Amino acid sequence: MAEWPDFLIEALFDESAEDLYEHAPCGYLSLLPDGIVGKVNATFLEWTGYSSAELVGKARFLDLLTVGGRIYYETHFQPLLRMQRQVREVAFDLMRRSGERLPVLVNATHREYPNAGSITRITVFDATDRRHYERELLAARKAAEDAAQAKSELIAAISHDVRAPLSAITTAIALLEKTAPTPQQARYIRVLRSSTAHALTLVNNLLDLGRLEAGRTPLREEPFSMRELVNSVAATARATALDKPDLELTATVAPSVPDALVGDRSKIGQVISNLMMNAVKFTERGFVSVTVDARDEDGGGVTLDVVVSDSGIGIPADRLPHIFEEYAQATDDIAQKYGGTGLGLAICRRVLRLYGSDLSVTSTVGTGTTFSFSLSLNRPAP
Amino acid sequence: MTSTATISRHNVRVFGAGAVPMVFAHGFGCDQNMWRFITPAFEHDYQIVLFDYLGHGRSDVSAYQPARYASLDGYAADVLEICAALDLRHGVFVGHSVSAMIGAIACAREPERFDALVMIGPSPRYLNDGDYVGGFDRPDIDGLLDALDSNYLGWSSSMAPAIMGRPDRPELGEELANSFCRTDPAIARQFARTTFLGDNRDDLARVPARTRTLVLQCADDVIAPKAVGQFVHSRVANSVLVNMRATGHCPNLSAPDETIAAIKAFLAS
Repeated sequence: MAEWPDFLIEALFDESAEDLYEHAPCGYLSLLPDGIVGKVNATFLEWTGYSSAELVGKARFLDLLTVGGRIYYETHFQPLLRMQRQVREVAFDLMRRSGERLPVLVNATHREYPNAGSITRITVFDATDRRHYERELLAARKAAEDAAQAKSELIAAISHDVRAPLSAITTAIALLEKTAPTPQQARYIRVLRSSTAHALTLVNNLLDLGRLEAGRTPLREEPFSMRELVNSVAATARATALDKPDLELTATVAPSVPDALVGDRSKIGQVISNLMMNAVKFTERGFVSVTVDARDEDGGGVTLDVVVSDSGIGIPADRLPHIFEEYAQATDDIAQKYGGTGLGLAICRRVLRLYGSDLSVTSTVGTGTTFSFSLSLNRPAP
Repeated sequence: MTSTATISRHNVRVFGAGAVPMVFAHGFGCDQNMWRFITPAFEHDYQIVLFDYLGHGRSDVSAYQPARYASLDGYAADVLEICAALDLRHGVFVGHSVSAMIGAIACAREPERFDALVMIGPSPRYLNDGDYVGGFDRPDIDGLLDALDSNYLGWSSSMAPAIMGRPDRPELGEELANSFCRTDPAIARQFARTTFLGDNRDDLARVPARTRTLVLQCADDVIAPKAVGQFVHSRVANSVLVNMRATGHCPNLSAPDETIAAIKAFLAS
């Protein structure tokens, strides 16, 4: 190794621990048992504008904080420090001698000397830039939340206003069907009826989602028969699949499922219906099946395992994580070919979360898809 | 609500060899852990009851209802529900900081639950009001809310791994920095408002005369100054005031021996 020049040897020799302590890029303080500053480094003094004589033996670290910060110090910082002997990255504003604030992050360690007292060592980092970015982040989050809220309210308002004329059109179509239309007129009426029903479903889904998002959807607790509910949903699904002669639709409710349960029949029916209608939509031939099994819980409750499977087109693996997002279809092609709003699965998931449950999915492209969920329900009181 | 549900949602812990119940209630910013240096001194003679308010420690956050906790009455109702669930009567209530006032309200509502009330660093109103010196003005409390916001955001880097679990980083486990006294940020904000903007001065006179009360006042407590301790003592009928040598707001952590001695002397008197 080449010999070091004289200046380097001199500089390294001068670099004492004391020098490092005084001029480190962070403030150091040692606090006496009553919180009074016992020792402080030059960096801290430079940052705050105080002299050593003004702080050592006279001021508490607490005195250098904003009043709000002092409350936080006493209610959060001190208890943590006393219990775990160390605290990391707590944000405070130091009051400089000039009255300006200095945002800092504080690390601290606390050491007890039995029957003698304690020393608290504090390291202070300048957090001016970090605090600036944090505030920008908070402002951006609030702006995004406000925008999302405004969008939801607009969608809800428009949906509500559109539903009334759609209902009137539906009634008018029903009346029109009774006026002995010609075969050509009857064809037009069928188009009208189908399109209006589709538009009503969309509007109702938007309203449902809005209510679920806003937490305005209480779960009803009423006795109902799961067996009857599943058979009814399956019958409706079969009716929509009449134009698919190669598609078999089955519903199986295990004998272990009690005849009577307590829950929100309408919401549970909506979840199963959305899943089955989806399955029918994306399956041209093969099968769509719904099965319900039951497991007894401690305390008299029942857990239902509901599975809806199909042999349809399947969902690409890279799209699976996104299918529960509002307005999401698996691909643009699917939206164009099959229609739909992508709201159904989002509604299912939100309803199930009201029950503390969630929707699971497995899928293989070209083979089919399986959705499943569990529901914990009570039996009716005897 | 069932007794089991109440006990579970407040993470109630009961231990000790005594018959007389001694309920310890934590203050704003902490959880039942803050009694760890105190309870060993009482567990041989009392039945110790610890709990967390909703949104604190290991309580059930999902049970929190903002409207219920808009005043301290909701917190007092929680204390009384815990008492009912455990069928506690003629016990001792030890409340730190805001919980001292919560205990006062609970004693007024159901006097038979507690024969003795220990108020550590109490304050019925933190804001100055005319001649009354609470110690703070409104902008100070806004400053506290700012500090809460900064810290919940600032802590996220060091707190998140502990909350979410990081099997690949075992060093970021339960004992990670700042792992005690976890609070839900939104709930902490409301608790701060309820605590520091409320006015519970009238509740002091409602503490029944049958309830023996100890007011423990620290020296140099920026949150509950001496004048406030004196005010509490003057308004609670059957109270004694003890001025401690301990400084700060948490003598149960900073001076446990002095705190224990003061409580024992009071209970023995």
